[in-house]
Amino acid sequence: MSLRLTDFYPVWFIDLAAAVTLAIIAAGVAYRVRELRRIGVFTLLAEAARRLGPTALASTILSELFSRVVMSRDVITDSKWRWSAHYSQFAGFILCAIATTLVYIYYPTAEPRQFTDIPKIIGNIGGILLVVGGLYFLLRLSKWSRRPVDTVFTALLFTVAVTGFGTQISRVSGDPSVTFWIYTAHLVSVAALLASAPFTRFFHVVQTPLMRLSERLYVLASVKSGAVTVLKQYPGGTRSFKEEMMVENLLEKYRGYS
Amino acid sequence: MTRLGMLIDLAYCIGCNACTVACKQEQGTPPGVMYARVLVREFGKYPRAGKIFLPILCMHCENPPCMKVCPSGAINRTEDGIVLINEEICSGAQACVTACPYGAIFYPDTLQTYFDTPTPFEEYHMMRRRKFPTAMKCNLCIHRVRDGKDPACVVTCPTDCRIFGDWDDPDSRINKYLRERRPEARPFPLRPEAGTRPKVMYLPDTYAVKRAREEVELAADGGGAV
Repeated sequence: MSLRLTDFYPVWFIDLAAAVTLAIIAAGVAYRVRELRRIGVFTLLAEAARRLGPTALASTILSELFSRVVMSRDVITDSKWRWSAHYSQFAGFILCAIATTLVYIYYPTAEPRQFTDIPKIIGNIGGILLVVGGLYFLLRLSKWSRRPVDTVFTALLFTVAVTGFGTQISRVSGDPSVTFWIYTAHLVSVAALLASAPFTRFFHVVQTPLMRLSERLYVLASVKSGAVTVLKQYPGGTRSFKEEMMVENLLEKYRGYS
Repeated sequence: MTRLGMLIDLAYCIGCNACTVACKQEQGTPPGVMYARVLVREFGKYPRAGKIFLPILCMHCENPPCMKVCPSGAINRTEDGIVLINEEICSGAQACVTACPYGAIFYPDTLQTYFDTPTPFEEYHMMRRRKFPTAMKCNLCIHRVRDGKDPACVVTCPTDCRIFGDWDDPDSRINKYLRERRPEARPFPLRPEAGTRPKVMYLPDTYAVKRAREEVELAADGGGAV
């Protein structure tokens, strides 16, 4: 059974929904970038980049991305279960994103595919990981978070995975009306997940590595510029820079008094 | 609404670091972690040299960036405006450490002690901690404040340059001090460009202002920038 969204909804409606989702994401990202700029994260990054130079900058960014993001080292230090569930969700989301991209590029038609197709295999593994990680966090969420937005994010991620499997199963069973509703729920939950991303815990995917990266880059830049010789003797990270900025800020204020 | 905070009159800070020590005593922080500390900067040239002392601590912002970036939701603000880290929830992401524009959050990876073996005082504070490592910062001595006392750094200051109170209460010590002791001065925050709306505000040191102004005028007159 072919499953194409335009068979169910008019094209203008889908275009409008996509445009609204993108507009919400853009507004949310702009808000977050403004916040980060205000607290000086980009100043720190620029200062570190200036001191490090392009080669050291690029290699540090790559190694940090591999270590902190791909391998998730030092990400959650308090519980192995929590780390595993977190990694399960992270890897699951990435695999599902890869599967969706592969389908978009290599399979332009909406015909059902075999379970042995590469995107199917990747997507299903990703989906299982999302469900496993999502279940853990949904059951344990009250222990860690009281923010409604966190519950919304975790629930949406879980719903995306469950409705994805639901769509797949209903396509195999061959009931078009059921498939239609589950597929709609899947797409709506994906759109809601992406649109709410800048406002929920989802944004930490970008924000936390960026923060850690700026801290790391600044420490390395300080070592390179000779401000410190041994990394272990410099646990303060960007603190000295911030302290310098505060004192400078005060001195400027004094100089400007009339 | 209660907005607990602090006013620091820089005119009276002598840079003695009594607040630093008092905080370490009260909070039992490990080496390298100083919730309250005093920054020092000399400026100008003799005979017009000046020195500023800048006591800093967590600013307990009304718009705290640490709270916004924490992926675990471990940082919260109490009803009276004190920003606290929930050690049990903290997952060690350390985003708050970078996000704080005041460098007020610490994350010691290893639990060091001042001597080879922990002192009974250090042991007591290690036991009191629910988890380690976690992000650590000033809690405005909430345990003392709840008992009706002032934070340790405030009671220890020999010059009383730290004034603790409620910004919203016109009869609080902060507002009385502003009315009665420094009616001409306007309290200002550090790094206002960060938009954090801190509840720790400062009053200028008139002597340092005079020296800084002289420095500017001297540079303008072609007397050589210092």
